[in-house]
Amino acid sequence: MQFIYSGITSGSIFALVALGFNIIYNTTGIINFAQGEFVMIGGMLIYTLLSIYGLPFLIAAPLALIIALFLGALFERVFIKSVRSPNEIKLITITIAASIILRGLGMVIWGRNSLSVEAYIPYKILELPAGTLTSNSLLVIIVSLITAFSLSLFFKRSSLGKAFRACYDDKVAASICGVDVSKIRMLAFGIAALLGVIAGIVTTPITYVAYTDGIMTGLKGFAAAILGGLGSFWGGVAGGLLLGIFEGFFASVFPSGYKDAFAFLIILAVLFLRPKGLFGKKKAERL
Amino acid sequence: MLQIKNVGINFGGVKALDNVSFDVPCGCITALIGPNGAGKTTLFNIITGFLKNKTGKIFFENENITNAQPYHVFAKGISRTFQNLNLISELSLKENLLLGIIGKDNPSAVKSILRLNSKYWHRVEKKIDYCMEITGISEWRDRKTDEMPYGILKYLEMARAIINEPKILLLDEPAAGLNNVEKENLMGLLSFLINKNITIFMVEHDMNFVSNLADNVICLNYGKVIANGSYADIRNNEEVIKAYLGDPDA
Amino acid sequence: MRKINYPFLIFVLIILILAKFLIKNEYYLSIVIFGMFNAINASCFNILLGYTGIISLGQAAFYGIGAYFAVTVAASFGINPMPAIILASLFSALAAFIVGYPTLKLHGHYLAMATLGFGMIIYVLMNEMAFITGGPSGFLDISQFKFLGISIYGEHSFYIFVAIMFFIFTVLFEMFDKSYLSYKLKFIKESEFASKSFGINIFKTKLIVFTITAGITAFNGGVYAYYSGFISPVSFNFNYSIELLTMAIVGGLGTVSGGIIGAAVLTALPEFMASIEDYEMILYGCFLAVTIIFLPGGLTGLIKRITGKNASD
Repeated sequence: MQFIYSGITSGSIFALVALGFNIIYNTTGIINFAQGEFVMIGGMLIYTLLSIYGLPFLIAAPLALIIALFLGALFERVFIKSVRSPNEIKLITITIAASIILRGLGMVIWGRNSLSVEAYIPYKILELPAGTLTSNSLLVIIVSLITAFSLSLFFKRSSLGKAFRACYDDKVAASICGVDVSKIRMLAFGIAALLGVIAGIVTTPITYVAYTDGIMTGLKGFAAAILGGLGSFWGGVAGGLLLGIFEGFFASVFPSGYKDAFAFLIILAVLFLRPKGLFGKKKAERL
Repeated sequence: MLQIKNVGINFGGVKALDNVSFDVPCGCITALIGPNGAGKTTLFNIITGFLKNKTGKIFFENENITNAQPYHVFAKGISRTFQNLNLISELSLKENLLLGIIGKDNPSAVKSILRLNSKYWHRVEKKIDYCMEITGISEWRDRKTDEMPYGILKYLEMARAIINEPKILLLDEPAAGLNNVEKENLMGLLSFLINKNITIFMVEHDMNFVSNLADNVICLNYGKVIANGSYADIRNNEEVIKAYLGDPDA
Repeated sequence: MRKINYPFLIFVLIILILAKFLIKNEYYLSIVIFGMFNAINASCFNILLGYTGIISLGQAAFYGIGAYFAVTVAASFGINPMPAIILASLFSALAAFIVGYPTLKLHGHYLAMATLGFGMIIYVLMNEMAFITGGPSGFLDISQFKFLGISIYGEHSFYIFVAIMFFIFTVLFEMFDKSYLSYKLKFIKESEFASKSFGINIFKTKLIVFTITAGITAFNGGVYAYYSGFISPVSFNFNYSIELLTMAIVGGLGTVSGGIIGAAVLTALPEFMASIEDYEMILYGCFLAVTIIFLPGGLTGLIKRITGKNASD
């Protein structure tokens, strides 16, 4: 039953990545192939701030988050906004290009090796029914849940959050009502980067970080997003947790090398059998 | 020729079309008018087989085509134009015309690549020349599409729709964006096509155009048919006037 | 239908012949050979993306299936190389048909992700099914390459074989590009809505294109396996699919020369960058980004603009 606990832990990361995908998708209709790279950058950032600059965690972490917001906005300006006459193919391929560049930068700045940071809280092991949970893992789960709830409150209560939802429903109407659609897009990428960096920060003590991590993390996060239903906030969270648990179960039964294939089998199964995912709503089709 | 029977469709909670029934008779020009959002293009999309989950039936020459796929609808002889043209800008006018006919003839790919069926392509060239002549765009045959002004492209789109010798033409706002001279030419072209036994069913906003050409007029508002008759009947119909100009008593 | 661009074909032929005579160094010759393999793969990717609008992020898998199937079947059943390669090509086409059937009903990023998923699964299988493929350490049991009784071994003789294969492919590609078929595909890419309205069976067309390009890519993979003498999964992973995407876009989507120019530039690039090898990935990404943002027609489009060519060429 240990796989349930490890599954929830990794699933929390997938959930955060899925949320990042969903936020960008909901405001712009774009699938950001570079989403996983934000996670990698999160890990790299916290490593740099903690180990190289020797900052205390309570300063390093918020600083990393602020940098994340800024990076996400910069990403949108450099890659997305500069594409003239955008079409689907251009938008898909530009985010692929962005992910290559981010990966390349990661390698150049931080090297090819895995980097690690010390645990943020004292290391303890919790005894639970049929398994154990380390304090690091518990931190991942709690931080993810708090992030998800905070974000959800932001969208429901704050006026900025309402502007986001307006953009999702109808860009033209939103801009007529005075919503600056362009700024919202920038903010969407900023928040997505923020989510990725949070995920990267909490996961690095456990899994270390290397410049190639982004690909798999991004793909699994995407699998979680479509499992839950692309565009659905809590669907992404549920999808992430479910994916983590199923993947953990799969890994306990099959040889470990096949574990990565599982997420892709999920992608294929969802796309072929139930493209809406578990909780997805179809937007009304207009021709 | 074309019979629409009790057709309805919902988008989310909105009833885009509600129990729409009318006939499009053979050999003449029928116009579909109505304010924006009345459901006219939706109806076209239903007829050409693009929308599922609709109620009602559609018959073409007494054959039930309600659930036919778009390429089947095309094969039956229903050809259409679009509000946003859908031409390939990097090709020449002549090459864009080709697009109208390959779905009908389905020439062998292998033979075409190996250049073995030149007789067929010779015939196609002749058809292309003819269609360009009657739409008046022969002069720009080999020019690239993205260099041409809008009026020429509209004619090109018409040519593409008729090169496959359809039985009925569905035109989506054929006069939109044309100047008066171009509209005159278009009227001439449509009359010419009627004489060649091609039925025309068009969505139009330009009432002058409609009054000069249409034998039949159907008016749609909020997805319902509110009037059906000759232009003279429609012009004085209270419901139609309210739909366009608003209800003075409301 | 357009006229075939004979000057272009003659130009390619001359370059191929010149290269053989001017390049004596086997290392540089091998780079040209790799460039030709990449050019064929990139052109197939271009047919899918640049002509038909299909993003096949798992395209490398077909290259790998061709390579592994050919050498495995040859080793296990003692079949000669060329028949083995042809079988591999047919097998890959069949796999593409089976995968394409559900996948090609999807569009845009869904299609991209599905093909990506397929490619990844194949990659995992290549690594895990070691009893067939030799696993991560690769497959070594590759015999010498024989074609019609002639033994082909070493850079010089392989160059001739691959160059002939490449030229035949280029000629066929050029004939395809100037036939109505390329318009039909571009019509689908431009507007599925309009092309459906004009009687084109989009799904069937996409499936045929997907199957055929998979077969060609696999054939290429089989020859590559024999040329290389050694294959391992890492040559056929997601990164290679992305490289093909970059070659096709940078070279110019929807053109015959796109895959060739893109492959030439990006295969030669690492050679000029030996000293700044670490920056290769960033440069790759920048090439791709700059092309998408500023040069939608790729390098081919740029050349056409400079030389003032128009549509009838």
